[in-house]
Amino acid sequence: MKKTSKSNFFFISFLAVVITGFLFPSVSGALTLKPSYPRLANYFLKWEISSSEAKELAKWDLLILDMEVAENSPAQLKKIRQLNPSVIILAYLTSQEILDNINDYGSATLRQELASGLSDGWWIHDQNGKTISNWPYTSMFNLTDGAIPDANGKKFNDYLPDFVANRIAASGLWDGVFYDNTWGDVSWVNGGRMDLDNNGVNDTPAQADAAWAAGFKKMLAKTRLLTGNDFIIIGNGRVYDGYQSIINGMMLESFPSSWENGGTWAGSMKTYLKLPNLNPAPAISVLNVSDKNEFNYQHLRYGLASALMGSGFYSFDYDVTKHGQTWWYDEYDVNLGPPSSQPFNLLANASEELKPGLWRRDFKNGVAIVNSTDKKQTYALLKEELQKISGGQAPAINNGAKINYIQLAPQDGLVLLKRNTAISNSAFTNGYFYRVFNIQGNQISGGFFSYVSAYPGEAEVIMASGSDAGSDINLSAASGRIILYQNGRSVSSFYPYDKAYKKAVNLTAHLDDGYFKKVVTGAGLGGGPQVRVFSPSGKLEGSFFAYDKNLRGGVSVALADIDNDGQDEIITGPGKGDKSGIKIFTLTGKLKKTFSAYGEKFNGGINIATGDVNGDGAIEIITVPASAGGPQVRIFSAGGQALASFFAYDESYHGGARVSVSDMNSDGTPDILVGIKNFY
Amino acid sequence: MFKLIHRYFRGRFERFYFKSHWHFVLDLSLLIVIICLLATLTGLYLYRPNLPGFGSYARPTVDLNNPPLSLELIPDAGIVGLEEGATLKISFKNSGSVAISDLKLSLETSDGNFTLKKLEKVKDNSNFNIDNQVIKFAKIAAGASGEAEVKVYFSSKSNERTINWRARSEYSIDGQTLKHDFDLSALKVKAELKVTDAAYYTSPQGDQLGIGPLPPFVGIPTNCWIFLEAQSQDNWKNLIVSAKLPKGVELTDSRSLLAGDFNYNPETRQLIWKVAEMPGRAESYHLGFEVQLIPTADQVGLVLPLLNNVQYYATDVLTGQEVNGSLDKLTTDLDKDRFNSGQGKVVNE
Repeated sequence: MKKTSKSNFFFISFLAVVITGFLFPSVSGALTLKPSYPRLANYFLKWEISSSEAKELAKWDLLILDMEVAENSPAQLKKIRQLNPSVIILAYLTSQEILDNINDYGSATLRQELASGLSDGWWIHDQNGKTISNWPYTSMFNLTDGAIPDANGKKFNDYLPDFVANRIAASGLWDGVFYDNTWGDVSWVNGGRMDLDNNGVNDTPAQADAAWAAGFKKMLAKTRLLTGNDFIIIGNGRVYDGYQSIINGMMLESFPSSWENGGTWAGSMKTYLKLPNLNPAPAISVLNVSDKNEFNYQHLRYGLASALMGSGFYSFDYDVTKHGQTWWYDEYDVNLGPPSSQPFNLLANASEELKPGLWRRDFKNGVAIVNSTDKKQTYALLKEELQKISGGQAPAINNGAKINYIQLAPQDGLVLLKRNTAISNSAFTNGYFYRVFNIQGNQISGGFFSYVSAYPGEAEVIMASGSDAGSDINLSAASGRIILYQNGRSVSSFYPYDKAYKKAVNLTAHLDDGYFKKVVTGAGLGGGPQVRVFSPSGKLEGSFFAYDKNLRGGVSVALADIDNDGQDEIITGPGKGDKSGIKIFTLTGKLKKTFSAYGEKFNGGINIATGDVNGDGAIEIITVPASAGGPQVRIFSAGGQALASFFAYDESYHGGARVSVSDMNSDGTPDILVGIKNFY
Repeated sequence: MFKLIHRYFRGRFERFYFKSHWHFVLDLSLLIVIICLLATLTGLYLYRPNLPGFGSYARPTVDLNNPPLSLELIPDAGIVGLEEGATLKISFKNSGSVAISDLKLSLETSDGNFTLKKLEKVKDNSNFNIDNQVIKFAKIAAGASGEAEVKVYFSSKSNERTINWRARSEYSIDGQTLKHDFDLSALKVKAELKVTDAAYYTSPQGDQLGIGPLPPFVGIPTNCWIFLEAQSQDNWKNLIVSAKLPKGVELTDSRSLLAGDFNYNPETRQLIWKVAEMPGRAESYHLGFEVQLIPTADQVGLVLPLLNNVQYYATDVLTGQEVNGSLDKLTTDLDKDRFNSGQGKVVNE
């Protein structure tokens, strides 16, 4: 009686949870998926992982690791989380089978523990009492309610959720569980010869499938009940809609697999794209593509671009028999940002109806295109300019070229970047040609002319950028005059020096979320090295000479809280003809530090900019010769320690350069822009 | 007296001449000889040679305020090109009574802005020669006059464009050496203006500027960048570069205008780049703009024009002189693009 009450209580609770799950499928846990794409998954099923593998695996967003890793390599699990705090790690286990003679295996602690609790009545037999196997050296569990309860009245579809809750979820090492072989039917196994209800007679396929789906669903629901909504549950195998309201997603293994929705690209894509609408949040599906050739880049791209048509994660590895690679590709380093469109077919008038075609999906920073037809496709983008990614693996494809048309082989895909040619929050010279670099000196996108037709050629311009997309505030300095523009209209102007001063003015500013808070000027070439501090409306707040006031080489200026004391500092570079170095001043002109950037003999002038270009949280000073010397960029810490150096253009170019700092690829780290007037 | 002479000759006629006329011939000859001898004697008597140590010798004088050699050096134009040189016309006249010898003319600039680079004879003229940049005349006879022409080349040592120069003459006359300097009329150096056009798909430093297929495909846009550049150390004004976009070539919105104004009239397809003031400097004045073409099937195999009728005009601020010129038309062959030149023929995909 007592047992019955407990069972009723459990059943009612279970029902409540299931109903809640149905009614509030969007109830999500604390886990938030990264908004930017591509989302990368690694299906890595080794039972132990090494330290070097852990380091590699930390690069993925979603890891499906065998549950034994928790016992065999717990330190590596922690290391992965240290290296990548936002990683999602799921424990892999097969839901419906276990290796025979599991006790003979080393490093199989959890499987042995699982096996130790198994009851004889939980195996699937045919009517002759023979156990059934779907995979070599394994036997299948009976997940239906027809399984014979153990001494405690439990069936396998009770036992497995308990195991997952107690040994996986409770460990705190995992974000969820990955149930392999989450089939919605079973009659295709063993020629359909199975006696799931243990009545001594093989079930009809319909009976077997119905019982299997119900039992499996019960197992999943109980897992959800025991682990809560925050715990990720993902299945694998042919997608069965009946489970999807309970679990967070499915892996589509060996995409496009023969078993999924007709075995075609379009069929698998239909399934893949519908899943997020069926799964509770966070919806996590995985598109797994297999290839025995690690270097089949076309296959990789085809799968990745297909995955990017939806919101799932992408995995590329060897095949179903050997998931355990850490293959990394150029495309994985791309930050496409969040999607900005649904996928559409370029060959069918932008139709969203799923069929083979040239499919495209737009993201904030790029585009994914997949050719799922069996023909080579050429498509002109007309007025659009996109950029191929730069990489060393497939140089003919990932060559960083700017393109306005695509040519894609059958079953091929492309990840392209949108071109950002707007330098924001840093002064640039209007009309100069700029190259974009990271701190290592690698060009991260193609060069461009920084020309804004609203301003005169060679004007110094700062275009403010903030969270308010409607705010368009810019500052320009030309012919000795500074003008503040808002939404294209001049709102204030002033002469930072004498009205008669018509030469160039170097600019820098303190910007706060798209608004100018302080403007600092330095006279350009031909003027004295006078630094002046203004309010955005032009009220003079400070003035001093950074170098010998008799010189006429001007002064380059930057403004940043370089020593992290809560106050902005003015950083200056000497003008042409001055052998002085970089100086750091307070806003009132008190010298705080000075150091040499190009040696004590160099007098060609130094242009500067500041920004956290290495992403370490501290501001760096970036320098480039203003004239003479080669176009050598140097990066210094606030203390004047040289951090990096590279030539932005040919070393023989001695025409001088300008430097700006702006996040051109939206990866959150400012990039270094080096501009020259004459690229000949 | 007359009767006496008459009687004498009548007597000789009757005694001698009547008999033989040879007597008359002999007498006449003797008379002529006598007259000549008398004339010589008279001349010698009157001759007073002015020779040192010879009687009352008096030394000759030359009026330095009015030297016997008059020289005139006139350039044929007030504006010269440094490469072309200036033609200097030299006119001379020896108005003295004695010959002038060893006339040397040397030219020099009056300040450090220019130096004399080279002198050349304009025509073959044996009256003088040029030796180590010195014009030399061997002898100019008293009363003689003549002309000579030389080409003078200068080297610039600064941005100054006015050549202040002078001539130095030196010659001998009657054993004396006379020197005389005189300023020549200043020359203005012709302003140099270099205007170029070029089309690129890839910049000389390897940056991809253009976009689309090369060689161009039928039906796919190919974009290239066209650059116009003016360069001069001299001050110019009203630079105008005009050109026409061929049919099928369109301007995109991408450009880089570092100086002046840029206008395009889609009806006439003419584009104009104007720079009102162009102070001379080492750096150049630039305009860059992107053009797009989408080849059609009937253009397969053709190199397509990108820019036609490229012409320029400008006025030299110092001299007011207007210059003009035309530039090469630009095509999809991208002659100056070292990465892509020669790939201009349209192909089917």
